[in-house]
Amino acid sequence: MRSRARTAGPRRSRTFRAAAVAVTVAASLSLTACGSGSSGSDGAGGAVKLSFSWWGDASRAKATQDAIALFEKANPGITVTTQYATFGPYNQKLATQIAGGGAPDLMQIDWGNQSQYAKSSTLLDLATGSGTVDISGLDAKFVGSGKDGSKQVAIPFGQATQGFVVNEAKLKSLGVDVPKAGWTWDDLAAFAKQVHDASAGKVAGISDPGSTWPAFQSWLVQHGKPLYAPDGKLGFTEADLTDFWAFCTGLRKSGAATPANVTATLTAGPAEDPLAKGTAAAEWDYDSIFASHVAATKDTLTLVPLPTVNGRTGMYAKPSMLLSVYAGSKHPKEAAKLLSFLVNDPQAAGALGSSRGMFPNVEVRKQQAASATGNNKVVSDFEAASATLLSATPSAPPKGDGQLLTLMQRIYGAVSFDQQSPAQGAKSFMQQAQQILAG
Amino acid sequence: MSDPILAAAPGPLTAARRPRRRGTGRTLLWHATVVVIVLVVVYPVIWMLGTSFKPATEIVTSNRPWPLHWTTQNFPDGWHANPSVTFGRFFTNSLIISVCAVVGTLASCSLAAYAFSRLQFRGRSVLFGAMVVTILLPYHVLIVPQYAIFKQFGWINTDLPIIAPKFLATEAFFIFLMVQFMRGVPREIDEAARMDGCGPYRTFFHVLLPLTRPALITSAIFSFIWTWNDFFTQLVYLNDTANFTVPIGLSLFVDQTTMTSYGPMMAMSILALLPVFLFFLAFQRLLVDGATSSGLKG
Repeated sequence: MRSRARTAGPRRSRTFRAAAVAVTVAASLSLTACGSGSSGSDGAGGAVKLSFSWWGDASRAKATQDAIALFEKANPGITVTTQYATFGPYNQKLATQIAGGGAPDLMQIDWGNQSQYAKSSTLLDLATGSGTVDISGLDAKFVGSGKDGSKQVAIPFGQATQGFVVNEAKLKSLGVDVPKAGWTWDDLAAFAKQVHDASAGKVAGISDPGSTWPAFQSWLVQHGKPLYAPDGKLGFTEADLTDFWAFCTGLRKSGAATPANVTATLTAGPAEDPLAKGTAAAEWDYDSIFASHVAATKDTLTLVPLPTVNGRTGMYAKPSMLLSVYAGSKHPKEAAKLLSFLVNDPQAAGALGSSRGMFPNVEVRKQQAASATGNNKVVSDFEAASATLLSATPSAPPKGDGQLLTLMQRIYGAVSFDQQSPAQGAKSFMQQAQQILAG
Repeated sequence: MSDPILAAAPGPLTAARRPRRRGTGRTLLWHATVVVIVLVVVYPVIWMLGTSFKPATEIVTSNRPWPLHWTTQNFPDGWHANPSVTFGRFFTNSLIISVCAVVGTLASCSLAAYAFSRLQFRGRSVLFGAMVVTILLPYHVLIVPQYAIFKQFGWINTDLPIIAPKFLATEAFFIFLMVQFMRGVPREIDEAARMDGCGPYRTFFHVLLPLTRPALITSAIFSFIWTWNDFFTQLVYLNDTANFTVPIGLSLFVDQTTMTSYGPMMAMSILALLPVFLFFLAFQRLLVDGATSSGLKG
């Protein structure tokens, strides 16, 4: 820098002042983000334009667009524009749209974000608001998951249930029987050990469920405890978590569950997890993910309900996604009408097929189940068989649930690598979890 | 974000003495080492290339970078993966946005840099400080107010929110780069231009701009690559599938809640790398040329 610009005055204070001014300007700029506005643009001549967004892949997009085409045909005055992205980016984008006041009229939301969006009055009350949805044909226990307090802020779509995805082919080759409904955790331990021994230690019976947050939730429900108290705080004690982790550690040490380095690959998703790699014969998961597990392996897989404690499985109907109407929508009536069509109409069910999981309307679902084939048949049979085993669906998780999920992975990682005892791990988990939920 | 390689200000060239010839053995060893290092660096790309020719079942089961059974089916599958829109559309959109971003960045940032490095005006140092501070602002802080503004303009679901800021010299990093470069150009050249009757604009166009070519090329390369690879901005502002760009198109292949089609994704990723690779190849030569001409004789 040979020739510096000539400036008067002492250099340092100038730069400092410049920086200070800049920070103030930047700060005031970001404060002017007022989210008032509404989505959708008014078409001419009384035509209504709705926007609808969801997450998913190309096949879901195609099925959804087919369903929307049927809706537009039945309602000539309404046109629907669609947007979709994949799960992670979709939620980032939706958060930006909501903050910037440009959310779509009808949107697919994740159960983990429901309470957060409901608290900020982003979601329309679909029971008493300016647009209402017919929920008489849906399972009341399941619809409750879309409630925030007394308001029906979302309609659940796509019922998922917890279970064990079991590699039937592998068990056959090892000469181990596929577990049956009504088994206990002791049965599970014995079964998993048997797999380990029969395969000479090459295959673990199950992928270690110790790092799986929702698996711990099922365990709690079996013992008559909720994951979250009604006030959004933790509903369990340090001792509960210690018990769970001690049980998992016992399985891991005997070789019945996967070793720490293999368990860590669970986060890679169904395409690369222990079940796909053939290092575990069974894995805790939601039945909605079953098709992805099947796609990742050549072996035949099946679904088995969770082990029971005092006859309770701790399984419940979890919404894999929900549909909500944006509170700032210019056409709440029409948006609710579209939502109603998507969750009730047999035509919609025909177009959507299994792209969004189990259809919400119970009558239509029965018809769908009757004609299901392949993976869908396995899942719908499993759902039908498990219907009597389900507990009530808890209310939507509080904000921070997603962080607790990763916290569990991190701390159990340390426990499984023997850096911490289950009791020590549980202690630090409780401390950090309480901070997250309070923050 | 990787650290960009800053174009070094041209110094006087030292005539490098030719090194004495080393032994053939040492040269071989040296080359072998370099080749091994290159292989390690390039391995992911090789794996990606190989995977794009694998059938779906082989991708998750074998760890070999090359396929056992060759197939080219992934390319048409990936190209037509989305209902109603082909990948070609995404490439066109990405290209439009990236080229506009390069033009906008070069035009606006070079002018801003000229003002900061050569012109005297009130509040210059304050403004310069403000501009540098904007480099430190994380993008996620800006996105919500920006979204609200562009929504007022009615620009959502068009390319404008992505392109327009580039024409308004918002890329502070490039301004900073050019300012530093221009400060390295001797003022005597400006003086000479003024003697010959150039105003500030002609001085800028005919004298300073040709001399800052290395900085301009560097900015062009990086703004192209960054825009081509940018995901979040494009994701937030573009709604219709027909307006999507390559990064968004690629992300549609990966969905944790359903299935991931790795084969078509890798095939399209390979195609997505090509323009960046070619762009870099075309401009890299200019970069080297520019760095060796400082405009001073002797």
